[in-house]
Amino acid sequence: MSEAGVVVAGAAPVSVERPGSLAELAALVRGSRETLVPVGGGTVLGLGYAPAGPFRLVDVRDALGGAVEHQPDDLTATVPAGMTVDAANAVLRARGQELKLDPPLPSRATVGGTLAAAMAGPQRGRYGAPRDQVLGLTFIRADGDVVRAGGRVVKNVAGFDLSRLLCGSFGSLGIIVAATLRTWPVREAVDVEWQVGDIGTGLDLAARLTAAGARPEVLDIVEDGHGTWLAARLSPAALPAAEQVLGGREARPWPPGRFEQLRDGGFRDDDVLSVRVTAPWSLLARTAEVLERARPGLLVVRPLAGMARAAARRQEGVASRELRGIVEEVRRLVRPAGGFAVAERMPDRYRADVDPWGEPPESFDLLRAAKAAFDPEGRFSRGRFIGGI
Amino acid sequence: MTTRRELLAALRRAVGDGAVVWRPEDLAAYEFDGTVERAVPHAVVLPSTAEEVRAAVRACLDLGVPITPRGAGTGLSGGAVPLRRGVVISTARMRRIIEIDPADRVAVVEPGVANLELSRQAARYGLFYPPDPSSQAACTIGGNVAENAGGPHCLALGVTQNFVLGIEVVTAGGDIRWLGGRSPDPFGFDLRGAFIGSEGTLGIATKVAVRLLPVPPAVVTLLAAFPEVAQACEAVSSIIARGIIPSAMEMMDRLCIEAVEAGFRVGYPEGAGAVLLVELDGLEGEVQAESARVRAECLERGATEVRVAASEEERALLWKGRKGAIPALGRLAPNYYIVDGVVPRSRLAAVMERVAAVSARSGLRIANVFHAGDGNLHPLILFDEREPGAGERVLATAAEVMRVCVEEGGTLSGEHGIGAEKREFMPWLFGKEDLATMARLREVFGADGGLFNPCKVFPGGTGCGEMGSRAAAVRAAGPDAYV
Ligand SMILES: Cc1cc2nc3c(=O)[nH]c(=O)nc-3n(C[C@H](O)[C@H](O)[C@H](O)COP(=O)(O)OP(=O)(O)OC[C@H]3O[C@@H](n4cnc5c(N)ncnc54)[C@H](O)[C@@H]3O)c2cc1C
Repeated sequence: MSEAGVVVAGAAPVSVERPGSLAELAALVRGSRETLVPVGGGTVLGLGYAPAGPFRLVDVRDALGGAVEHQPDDLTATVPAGMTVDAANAVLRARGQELKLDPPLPSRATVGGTLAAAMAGPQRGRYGAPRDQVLGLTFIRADGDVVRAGGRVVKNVAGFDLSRLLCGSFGSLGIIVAATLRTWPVREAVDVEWQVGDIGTGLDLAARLTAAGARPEVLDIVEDGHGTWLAARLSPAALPAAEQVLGGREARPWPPGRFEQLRDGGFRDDDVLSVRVTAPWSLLARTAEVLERARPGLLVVRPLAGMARAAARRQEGVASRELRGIVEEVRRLVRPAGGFAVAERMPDRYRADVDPWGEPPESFDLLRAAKAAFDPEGRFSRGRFIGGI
Repeated sequence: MTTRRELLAALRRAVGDGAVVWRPEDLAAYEFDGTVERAVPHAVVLPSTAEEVRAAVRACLDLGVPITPRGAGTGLSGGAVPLRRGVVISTARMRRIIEIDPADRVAVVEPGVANLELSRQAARYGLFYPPDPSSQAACTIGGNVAENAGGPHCLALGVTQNFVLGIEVVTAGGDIRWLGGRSPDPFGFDLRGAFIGSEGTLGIATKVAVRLLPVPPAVVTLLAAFPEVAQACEAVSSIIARGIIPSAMEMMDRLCIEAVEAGFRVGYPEGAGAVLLVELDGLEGEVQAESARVRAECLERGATEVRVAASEEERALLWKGRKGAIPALGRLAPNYYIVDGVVPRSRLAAVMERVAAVSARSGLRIANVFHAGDGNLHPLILFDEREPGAGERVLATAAEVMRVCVEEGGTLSGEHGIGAEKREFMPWLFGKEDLATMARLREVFGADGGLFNPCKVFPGGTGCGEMGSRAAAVRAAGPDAYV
């Protein structure tokens, strides 16, 4: 996050705070009358509604620093929330392990922000969402107290799983201080891709490949103006089986930057539009068809994660009215299956036309009750999340 | 005070005459689960739909009567035992598999469907439901959701939490709501994830949407015998450190091996101090390569013998001892008590030694059969309930084992839940404010009135009394006491 002119979904904060320690941050929470918007690397600050009313932006990175505590034999690590994903992985990779967190822009994205915003990446299909990596966490409650949920072991059912509630809560229930996460051995893998013609075909082939027993580390269908490819990261021993399923198609190694494109697409510096859809597998082909109309320069479909994302750079993309129609159509399509579409990134002037979250879900009264139970005064990111929570 | 007659009348209005159980002799089937807890409910209802569940819940709320959800009653922490009596809501009549969608690899089921039945039906599409508690022939998907159940094959693929997409619940406040849906991520706060493992204290699951996986084409099972438990524990760590995550890694100690041999003669090497069962699944090529590495790793760590099974029959033979361990131990002592705890994998060997010391001190034999891959212990305390004071000694011994787990950086339960049995230990893990924060989740679901599965998960609580003496008091009150 750069200092000058920072805005949150188009709105400017009354101040930018940079507490230097956990105690200072907790005191800030306790004493604040304005709503606080916690921010780490600021990679997803544009996502969601502008805060309701005057707010202070709180850069938590200095307050939530420290070292990684790695337990390699247990495959766990406790990581401070203010550390970037890349920095944490640099420590772990030196010992042959890594986090399966791969949010966009991991050199800036913090561990806490990745969990809070539930930003997943190409390995989501194989390893699960960020919340699935979490064994326990500590967080600052709305009254400034620091509390603990979960633990440090890989299997644990003692008490309610509050870490689930914090993950994906978008900074609106508490501020994550540190998290104990699973670590995974870095495994040998091969990166290959096959030209598939169109997204529907790519989805069929992905279904056949996984039905044959392959559990790819990455399995994305990508369309980027240079054809439509099924990009896979596989264990070397799985390659022959994959070639059998994909038989006869042109295969090649990933071009340079493929992984970064799959991971960062939508959040690169010159991306101006990004729409992410979550839906069951069988709706992804139709979802992609509708998204095509936004003339995205990049379309990524991640079947094992039930995700499709369309991204457009400055010179591409559509006008705001058109985008609204597209997003609404996708929402009508996926909503009956519990799916949703998020306009993750768009020019601020589009906000009047395009609702970044869309209509709240039917169980919205429970979401509101959760906000009331954990942050009764609306101290954290008030107004930012679904339904203006 | 509500009279029994008023309660039964209200329940009949809610779910119909044929769905209310009230005769003392019929109620006896609902007074226990898999633990030592006992309490007879005033009535049991057997709803067939979410609407009937809601009607029953609302009737109880109106009358101020405690509610306890129940699946198959295989729980091992007293969760389904109605400690403050009242009404048990059973899912026994909600056993439909609503759909299996092979394209989405999703199944939607009613909560009373047995875990194994789901995998059996999914097999027709080449799919299966990975979480496989050892009780899977009986236990229900609703009970699995409530306990966040695991099983032997949860090491590589994950537990219930990792496979549930959506849950329709009747909340403790009496509303029907979907948490999540058929899509991989929830829209909004992950209340679905927070509900999983809440042990029937926040509401009743009335439909569950789960993720299914393709049945792996190749499976290899290895059985390695070691002179000492410590060596087997080291093998577990080094296999995982090599980047191999088997689908299962189960261990048995000397006492278990002896019991199994005496019971079924599966042919475990004589004198072995530990047996490690490792299963790998996936593509043929992957599985072959990994099984060679697992074998080498075990030999390196001191295994005296490694057997590899490839055919279905050979695999069944290797698993026979593991699956029959509990009945086999039943031949060594009339009663056993299963403890469930987790420790960091790297502490396994040290913890096994400490558990042996607890056993020696208590004079009770403890056998160990457990999910070694994720450090999930199941010490089985053998005893004879006819000996005076046996019950108290067993509970005290179990508490000591729990204490060891917590001291070694672990936790009170890996899969069986806190329930009634361990709730007084929760302060060992969590501070007062941590627990109070957790308890706020009850407000979200309307469970703050204290009527929904009372005396579970959290320490204290009114009308729960001391464990054991509480159950006795409830029994003494008799089936016709006031509600
Ligand atoms: C021999 C044996 C082996 C076992 N092995 C394992 C194992 O390997 N892994 C493992 O995890 N567990 C194991 N268990 C424990 C037990 O089987 C699981 O906890 C199982 O999930 C309980 O399911 P149930 O249907 O029997 O639930 P019950 O015992 O009936 O209830 C358990 C809890 O769930 C609540 N509940 C039930 N249904 C619902 C619902 N629809 N909505 C909300 N709450 C509900 C109850 O109130 C209670 O708190 C084993 C048990 C036995 C007896």
